Order: sequence, then structure tokens, then C-alpha cells
Amino acid sequence: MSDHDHSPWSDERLARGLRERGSDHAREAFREGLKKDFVQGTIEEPDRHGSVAPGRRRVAIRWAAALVPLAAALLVYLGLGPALRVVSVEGEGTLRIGTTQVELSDRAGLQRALEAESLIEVPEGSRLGLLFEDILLFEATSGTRMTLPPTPHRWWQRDLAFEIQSGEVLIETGPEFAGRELRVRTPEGLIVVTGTLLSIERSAGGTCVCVIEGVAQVGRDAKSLHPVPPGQRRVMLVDGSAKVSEIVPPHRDALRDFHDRLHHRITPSDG
Amino acid sequence: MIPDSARTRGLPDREPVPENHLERDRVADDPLSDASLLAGVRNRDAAALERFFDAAFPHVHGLAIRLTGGRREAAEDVTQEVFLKVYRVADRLDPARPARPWLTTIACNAARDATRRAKTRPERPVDSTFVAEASASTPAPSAREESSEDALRVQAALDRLTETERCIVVLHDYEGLPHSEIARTLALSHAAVRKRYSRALDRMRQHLEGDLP
Repeated sequence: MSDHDHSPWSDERLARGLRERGSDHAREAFREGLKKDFVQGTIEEPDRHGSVAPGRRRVAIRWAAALVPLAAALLVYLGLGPALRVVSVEGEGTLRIGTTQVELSDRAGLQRALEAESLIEVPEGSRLGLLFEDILLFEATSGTRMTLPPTPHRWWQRDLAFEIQSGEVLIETGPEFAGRELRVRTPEGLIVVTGTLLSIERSAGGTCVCVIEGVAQVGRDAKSLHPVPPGQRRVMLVDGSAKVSEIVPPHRDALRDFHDRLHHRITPSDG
Repeated sequence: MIPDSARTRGLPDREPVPENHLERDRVADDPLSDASLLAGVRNRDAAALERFFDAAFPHVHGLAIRLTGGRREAAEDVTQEVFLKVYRVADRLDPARPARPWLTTIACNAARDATRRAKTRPERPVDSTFVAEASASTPAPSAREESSEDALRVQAALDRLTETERCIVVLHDYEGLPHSEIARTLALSHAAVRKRYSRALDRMRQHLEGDLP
């Protein structure tokens, strides 16, 4: 028998205690007001509760004004998310990063050369896996030309973005990605990712987005996005048309292989 | 060639069988799965928005209360943020996809942000939550009082978990979601969810048993 078999707090009692709160003890005024705003489209950001008492507000404002520049700089520094890291390198050759070139065998050199928004070009026959810890894992495959995303912030500017000019990038989001967006641009359009495992391939014929888990929104621009659910792919052709179909086995296998090889990098150890 | 072991470790080819009857019942009867309603929401039709709000509010507010440690103001903030986000992205809704899962995800994220903000402000004791008010305002037989007391204790123990652990327990025991769906909602692996859920319950028991006379 396990330890909790002797505990007065069985799984059922815990779950019952959780459910016992009741599902709707909201203030009637709050509920009705929110409903009205939602239906009328006048809903706004909540007025954060827990503000400073009135008598102290003026002093607080003076201090805040004096410290704003320093606080802003500190917040920017503290609010920065994890730096981009190299987590896997396969193959040989020279990686172009912006105006510099680094041998794939020089792992430390690769790490030093990574620079947000710089254009990288992966040599043929090689792969480069990059990671924002717990947030985003992506692998640029053979011959890929893409820009590197800037470091996402923890509290604001939490979204990520990069561009694929050609090649295929495999993407998996991590536990800290929830609530963010990843926007990937190709010459054919825009892919918006909110939490998923997918690949984006851009070739001379167009852009192909294959989704294994979650949903990606794909379209010419932000106003014409279409959801691509798990198991589906959407191809945006250079003539502006699009095709939807099931993922074909080579893409599915490539994504599964990517997931199997590198998933442990994006999932924190439960040890 | 990918070995079979890798394949079986990999991603499911189909939706997993629900682990409990709550999952099946919820999907079948859930107005938040009604494609015509969601299509109306996408068009920001007033009648559809009203129906959607009435269907979604208990779910969202119920989650918010549990995820924010029973703090009414924080729960209201979270609830408002969820509906604000829904309204903003309404034109991108896919009516074929049930709304409940993504409402859950948005609520979890908003609650996590609210909890982090609350850590910078003085906390009100859990006893001052609406549960104490609701149970105090209603004459109660002893069984009901006992269950309300359990509810307070469980909420206090829940409040001591990490944000992710709290979300997992709430989604499993209040929402009735299977671990697989929780994993998708929180972008965690199935194994991680199961492990964290088990660990979270153990930690809750430790807190609760420490409070017993």
C-alpha cells in the first residue's frame, strides 16, 4: 500500500474539496457588467486590484518618477528571457551568421556568434538545433536560410518572430511558451504558432506548414489566417493559392524524429 | 528508419480515449463545442456573444477562483482578461474547434500572471475568500459545514503549490481533464503531467495533515 492509503485525505476527498467551492459565486454586478462589456465590445483591461491607499499615493508617484529611468533599465534586464543556445549540431561545414562564418565543429564559436535577427545559412547536409530554454526549440535543416529570433521577454514583448527565406525549420514549443505567439514569415505569407509541434518548409514552389500537435494559423497575412490542426498541412503556393491535405509520411517521420531526438531539451527534468 | 520504440514514444496518431466519463460527457453536451455558436462569436454577433458568455463564464470564473487562491479580486481580473482576449481574437476563431480547451489555456496563463503580480502585494488571508462568505451567509447542516471547511483547507493547500502544479490539479480534479489533454493545454509531456500531479497531491496532503490536530 502506498503512503497516501493511510492518509485521511484520499484523492476523492481532495477532489471533492476542490469542487465544493462551487463553480459560480461571482458578484452579480461584476458578472453582469462584464457580460455587457463583452457583448458590446467595450471590454477593457482589468483595473488591477490591490492599489496603494490614497494617502500614500502622492509620495509613491514622486518616488516612481525619480526612479523610472533606473527601474526601466533594470526591468528590461531582469525581464529578459533565456538567451538563445545551440543544443545540437549535425554534419560539417561552415555556418554563415550575418557577415561572419563559423565552422560547425566550433561549438563555442557558434554560440558566441549567435545574434538576434541576423541571417543564418546552414550548410548542405547539416542541421542546427537552437533553444530558448523552456520556451522554443527549433532546428534549421540542410540549406536553410532564416533569421534568428530576438530573445523573448518574460513580462512584455513575450512573442517571438523570425523569417524563413528557404529551407525547412522544425519547431517545438516548451512549457513556458503558453500565452505567447511565434510569428514566422516566409515570402508566401505568415504562420502564427501558439503552442505546437510543426515544420515550416519554404522552397521555390511555396511554403508548406505541417502540424503534428496543436494548431498553427497560416495565411498570406494576419487578416487571412487559416487554422491548421494536428495531422494536417497547408501549402501556400507562389501564385497565391493554397492547398490543404493530410501530412505526408516523410514530414510526419521527420517531425517525430526531431521530437524524439530533442524533446528532452525543451521539457524540464522532473527529477 | 525510426525504430518502433521511438514511434511508440512519439506522437499519437489519433485522439486518446478519454480517461473518465466526465471528458466524454463534457464534449458531447458542451455548448462551447457548438460550431454554430462559435461561428456567431467569430462574427461578433450580439446574441451569440451573450450565449457564449453565459456558457463560458461559470467555467472561466470557476477556474479563476481556484487558480488564484480564492482571491475574489484576482479571480475577477483573470476572468475579465480571458473574455477580453476572447473578444480580441474572435475573428480568428475556428468554429470546428471546441472553445473550452483554449479558454482553459488562457485562464491558466492569466491566473499565473495574476499570481505573480499578487506576490508583490500584501496577501489577504484565504479565510476572507468568498467561500467563507458564502458558507457563512447560508444556514448549513453539519455535513455542509464540514465540506465547506474541507474546501477552505484544500484551497489553502492548493495555494501552496507551484503555479503549474496548481493548474494541473485544478484541470484534473475540477475540470475533469485527462492527463493527456492537460499536457496539450500546458505544453507539457504526458509523463510530466502525471508526475507533477502525483507530486502535487502528495504535497497537498503534507500541508493538510500538518494542519490537523
